[in-house]
Amino acid sequence: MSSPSKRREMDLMKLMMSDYKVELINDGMQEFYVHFNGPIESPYHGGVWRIRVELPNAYPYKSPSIGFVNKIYHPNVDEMSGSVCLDVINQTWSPMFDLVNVFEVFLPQLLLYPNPSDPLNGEAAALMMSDKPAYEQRVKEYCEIYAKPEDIGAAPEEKSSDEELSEDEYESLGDEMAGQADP
Amino acid sequence: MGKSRRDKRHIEESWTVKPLHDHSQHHHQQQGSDHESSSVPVASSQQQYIKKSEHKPSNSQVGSLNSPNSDPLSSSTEVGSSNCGEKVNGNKEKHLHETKKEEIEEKKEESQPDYGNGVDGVVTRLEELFLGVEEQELSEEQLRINDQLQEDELLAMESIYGDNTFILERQRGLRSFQVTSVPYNLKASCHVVQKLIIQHLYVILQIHIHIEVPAELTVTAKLYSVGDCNGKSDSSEEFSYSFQVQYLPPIELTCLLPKSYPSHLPPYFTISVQWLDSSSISHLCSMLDSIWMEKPGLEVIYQWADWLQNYSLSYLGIDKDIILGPYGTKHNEDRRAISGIVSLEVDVPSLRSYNDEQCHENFCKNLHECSDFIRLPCQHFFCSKCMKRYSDIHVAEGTVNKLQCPESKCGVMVPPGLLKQLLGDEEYEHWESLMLQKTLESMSDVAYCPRCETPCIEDEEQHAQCSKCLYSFCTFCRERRHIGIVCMTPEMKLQLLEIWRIDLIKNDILALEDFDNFLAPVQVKRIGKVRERQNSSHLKDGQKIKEREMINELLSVKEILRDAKQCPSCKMAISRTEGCNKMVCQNCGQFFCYRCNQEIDGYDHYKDGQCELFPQEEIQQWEERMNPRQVMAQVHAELFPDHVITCPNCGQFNVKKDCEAQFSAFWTKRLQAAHSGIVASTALNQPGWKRILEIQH
Repeated sequence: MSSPSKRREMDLMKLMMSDYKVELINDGMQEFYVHFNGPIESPYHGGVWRIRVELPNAYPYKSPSIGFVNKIYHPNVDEMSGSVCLDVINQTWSPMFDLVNVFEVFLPQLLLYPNPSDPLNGEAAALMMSDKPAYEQRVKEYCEIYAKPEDIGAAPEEKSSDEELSEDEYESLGDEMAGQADP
Repeated sequence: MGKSRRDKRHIEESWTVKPLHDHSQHHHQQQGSDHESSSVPVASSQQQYIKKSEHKPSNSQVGSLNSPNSDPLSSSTEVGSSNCGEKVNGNKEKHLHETKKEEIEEKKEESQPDYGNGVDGVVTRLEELFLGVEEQELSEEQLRINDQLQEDELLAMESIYGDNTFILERQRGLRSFQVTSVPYNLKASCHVVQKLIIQHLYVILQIHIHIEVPAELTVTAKLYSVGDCNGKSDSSEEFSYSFQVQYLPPIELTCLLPKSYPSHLPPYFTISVQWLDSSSISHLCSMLDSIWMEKPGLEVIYQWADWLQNYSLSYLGIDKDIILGPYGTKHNEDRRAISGIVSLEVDVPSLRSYNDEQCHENFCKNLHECSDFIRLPCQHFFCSKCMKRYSDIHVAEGTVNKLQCPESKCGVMVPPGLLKQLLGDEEYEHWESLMLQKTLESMSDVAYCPRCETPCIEDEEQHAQCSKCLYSFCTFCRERRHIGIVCMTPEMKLQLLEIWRIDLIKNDILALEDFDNFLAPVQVKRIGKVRERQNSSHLKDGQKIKEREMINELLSVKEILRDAKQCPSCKMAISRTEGCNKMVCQNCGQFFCYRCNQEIDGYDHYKDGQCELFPQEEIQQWEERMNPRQVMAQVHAELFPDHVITCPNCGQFNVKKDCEAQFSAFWTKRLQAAHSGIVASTALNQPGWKRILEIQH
């Protein structure tokens, strides 16, 4: 059906029109990289991250898969793989959301208001709860080291393949589970 | 007075308002060919105008406007032209002005003093303004330059404002032949010619300027009671009605571009606004004047339009509120200000309906090509193709619990009737069975009969009886009911299987290859039957397969339970590869905690401290590192439960084995107490204590 690809195109276009730098891979519109800037009033301000977006075939009925390519210190982002634990992306996704929503609203909100009570990065969560200034300092340090604009251009390749595995696993796990439901 | 404010949109009898970009006709005209409708315009009391392009170049074309067809007229016009021609060529403007003035005065006498707000009215006012000023004579060169600049400006305005620009053009009518009956004779024919000549003296351009309405703009209409015409507001007498709008009718700026624009004069303009009163509008007019005065000699229409669009509201001090009115005030003296405010009953509905129309148009613009829309019970609309695909995907994947309204945070389930239409019969049946299954699974007291797979309801503790085949079974292990005996876990079953297998093989009862025929009964009682079974060689293939399946299932269950946790509501085994502790069961949508396997809702579970966030072993390891003495005491306490006493200081369990105090703090206190005659009852039964007492006494 043409409408899903039309939807993809539209979303991609909207994203580009909103001044996000998008790097396509293979022109296939299945996966691409987006350059994301840290939101202004957060300790992540000034950092630039390369975020890998993968649109499943059933997009928009299925949520896109989002991962940080370069490192970020955040309670809800796994430091090693870069995968994001965000309920709107994993659990409460709706076809009414689009990519601009994700980059304009969901990700900035996550960075501004992390959820330390159920973390992927336990250390970051613990630090945030016990010593907020130290946490912010750490975040800034990570930004200095890993989230400079130069880092974006030269994101390491091995990292993305690791991340692919974990993200795919994560996605396919969901599918498997769903598959088991059929009698 | 009689004319509705919407006149501008209707075509007046003598008027045609055409969009500026009617290029085809323009070009056609410039080739010098005559207009198709050959009749010549007439001097009647109604004004008539031709398109600028027809008469653009110079006086010489006056003659060509008289088309050959209209014979009766041509003679008179020629006469007229010969007579008036000189005048025309000489002080034409002056003369024309005079006659025009006469006309206007005539019109004034015969028609209403208020020219109304229609196109006619606007043009009349403009002409009034035009004629009120003596235009100086310009050289041919200058006229040409001005003309060119005007033409360019018009093109530019059209490209910027597009459909919102209009040029007022004259319409040819059959009335031309009536001229002869008008008893003005020569004068009339002069009128004709003069009219014709007037035409190429100026062009009238109208721009509709749509203001961007600030968010939450409220329009309030106040109607003061009779005694308060001068604006004194007595709140008890005041009647007001407020409503919000996102769109306001445009400001209509109509400009008459004279020959000496832009070199010497600004355009004559009127500003017409439906929702402002005359004095506000005349403020705007004065602003436009000052804009011209800043840079006279340069084209100014764009500056005007731009200012009106972006700054007029703030200039008037309108931020979030527009107040309609005041009603009943006198007309402002400024002829250029045309206010559309009539009365509460007229203004409010007209503004509201304009707003609604524009909202609707805007809504329509955002639609894409879907033809059918489906409305859900929650009043949200979706394209039928998209909904179909959405439903198909979820039914195919079995995630029927997610078949809700796609609108975020809505959550209303898609009704079955609609699903039937969307899915088609076969898929709908599939959906029904999935729903049934999910619902039953989520009910905690439903079990499936192991023999016939019908759902049964649990009676008492772990017991159910199938209503179909009357099989009475245990809901934990799905075997025959076993009162008093603990269920076997899958591990135990497997172990048993192994044991029996080995045993039977060892005893030559069971050949290796026959193992597949062997179904290990769970209960030990049944072992006796095994031998009989073994000997019967007529085991059906179906049963063999079933048995093998069961073994496989047991093995896989064992494997699964090693790594996974079960969803608390539907028991689906879920294993986590990565992520946080808050899990969502893909089967039933239940949130649960991976650590303690409880149903949760949100993240509060983790905050309360109820959840054991770390495994016990880790805690123990940590503690062990902390205090070996504590650990020792713990161990002792476990070994000798009868002798456990808690230390009054820290609550640590201690064991007193004999009368020597192992933990001196405790015993020192006791001894002291004993000395002072106070005896702690807990210590009384200790053998050591008795001895002390004996010693004492």
